[in-house]
Amino acid sequence: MVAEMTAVTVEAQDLETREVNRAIKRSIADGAKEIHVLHPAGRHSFAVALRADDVKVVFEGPTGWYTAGMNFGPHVVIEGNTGWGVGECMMGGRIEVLGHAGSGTAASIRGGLVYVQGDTGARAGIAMKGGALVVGGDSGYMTGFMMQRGTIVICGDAADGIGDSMYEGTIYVGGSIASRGADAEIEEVTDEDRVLLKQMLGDVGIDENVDGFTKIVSGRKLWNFSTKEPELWKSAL
Amino acid sequence: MCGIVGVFYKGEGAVGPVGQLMTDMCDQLFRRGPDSAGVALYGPPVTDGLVVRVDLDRPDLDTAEGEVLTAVDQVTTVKEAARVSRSLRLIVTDDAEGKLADVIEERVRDARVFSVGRSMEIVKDLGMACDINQRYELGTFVGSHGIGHTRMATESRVDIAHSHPFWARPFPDISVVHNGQITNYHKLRRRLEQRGHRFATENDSEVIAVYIADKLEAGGSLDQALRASIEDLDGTFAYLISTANGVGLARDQFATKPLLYAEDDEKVVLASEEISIRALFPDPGLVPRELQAKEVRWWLR
Repeated sequence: MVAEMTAVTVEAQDLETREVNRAIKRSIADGAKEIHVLHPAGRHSFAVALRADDVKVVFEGPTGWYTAGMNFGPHVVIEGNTGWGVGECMMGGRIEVLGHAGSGTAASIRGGLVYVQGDTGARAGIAMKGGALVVGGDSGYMTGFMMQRGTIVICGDAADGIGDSMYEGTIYVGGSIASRGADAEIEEVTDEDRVLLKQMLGDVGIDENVDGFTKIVSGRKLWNFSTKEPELWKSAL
Repeated sequence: MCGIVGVFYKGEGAVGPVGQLMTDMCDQLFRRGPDSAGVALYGPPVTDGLVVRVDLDRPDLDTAEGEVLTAVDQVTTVKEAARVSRSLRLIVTDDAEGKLADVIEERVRDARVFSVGRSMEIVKDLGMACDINQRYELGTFVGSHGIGHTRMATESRVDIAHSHPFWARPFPDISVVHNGQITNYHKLRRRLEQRGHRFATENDSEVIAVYIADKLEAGGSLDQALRASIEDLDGTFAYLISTANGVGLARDQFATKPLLYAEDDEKVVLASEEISIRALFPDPGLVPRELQAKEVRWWLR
């Protein structure tokens, strides 16, 4: 009886997106602790605007764009790929993508964790205002573009323009860096960084030697406009 | 915003239901562009001849068809003719040294040649892809590959001629579908016109088709043409180009437009969003990947 109360299955195949999202919300209101959504089939806007702690929503397959956006609290797992803008504007909670993610992963998140086991597309962590993004694979073009706070960890390789015009925050890259963006500077990795990295990777089940990671921070040269540095501004987008 | 899709069956002689597949995949993306839809389908190559698709924008379809046949007869021989709705399909012996499309359009009022090729047939119209499938009886079309498009017009008018795919006139069997805007369109078009190419529409996407075909004709490989396009095309783009024996794709330097590819031993499936692939290919073993900024890919038979 208790098991029935706490675990719920939603078959997405025969439902409109709104009906799926309503079913998730209703289940949470009824006290469900784990909700499995079957056959999400790459469809968009699932599990958005949820406010709940101690609730796990599992998509048994790939989801489309804007999955788990605007959430505060829940733990969302996607057993497959996800599309653009996963976790967009999340306030808090946890999202795990057990495949690859499209562009704009974790855009503008304020808190919580987004973990992508595979690769991310362009502009992962764009305008992040807090929280953490951990990428198990490679990251695409301009990862961390204009990020303002928070932490991005990329275990694989970073494509061109990483950290372009970032205000603050920290990016760690385990693999190679194709090129850094405007005003993205390399800083020495400290013991504290290594402890943080070990803890962040351990949290998502990655046991990796963190010695080889590169740390990228804002050079803060774009914070104020200076007529003496026109070249700097010309190269910035 | 537009939706683009494609399928390519690998291996010599491999075919599939490309007509149904392309329109079904387009419909999955209709939210990306509900203005019009279209497909370029590659069937079994015509032996000793070319297949021509002519759109007749006329209420008097029988008269228009007669006029086209008369016009074509003066420059080449019509072997077969059949019309479904306003799309006239001809099998001709040759394309009069690349002049066939111009001849038809000059001599027949409101007739537009959408495609000429040994295997390529382009059909496009306003509305949803499923309606176009019904209207033009595309459901039974079997072929080696195809591309499709569902359009939200941004840079040029909403009508049938400005819908995708675009034929790389006058080059047989080359077509393109594009999501994005080509901002140096006028410059590129002028440059290609100076080299003798003629454009059928005001749509910026048409220039991609002619640009690639021009590179291929000059002896370049598809790989070289795709890579050159990344440098020469300005603006936002994810596009699919299809030739008689292959498909290629490219994405702009800022990765502004989405494009996924999924591949197994038998086929390659291409789409703007995974939803379009999953609806038709639920097999979890087929894992779509997003094309990265400046990345090109191609498959040849």
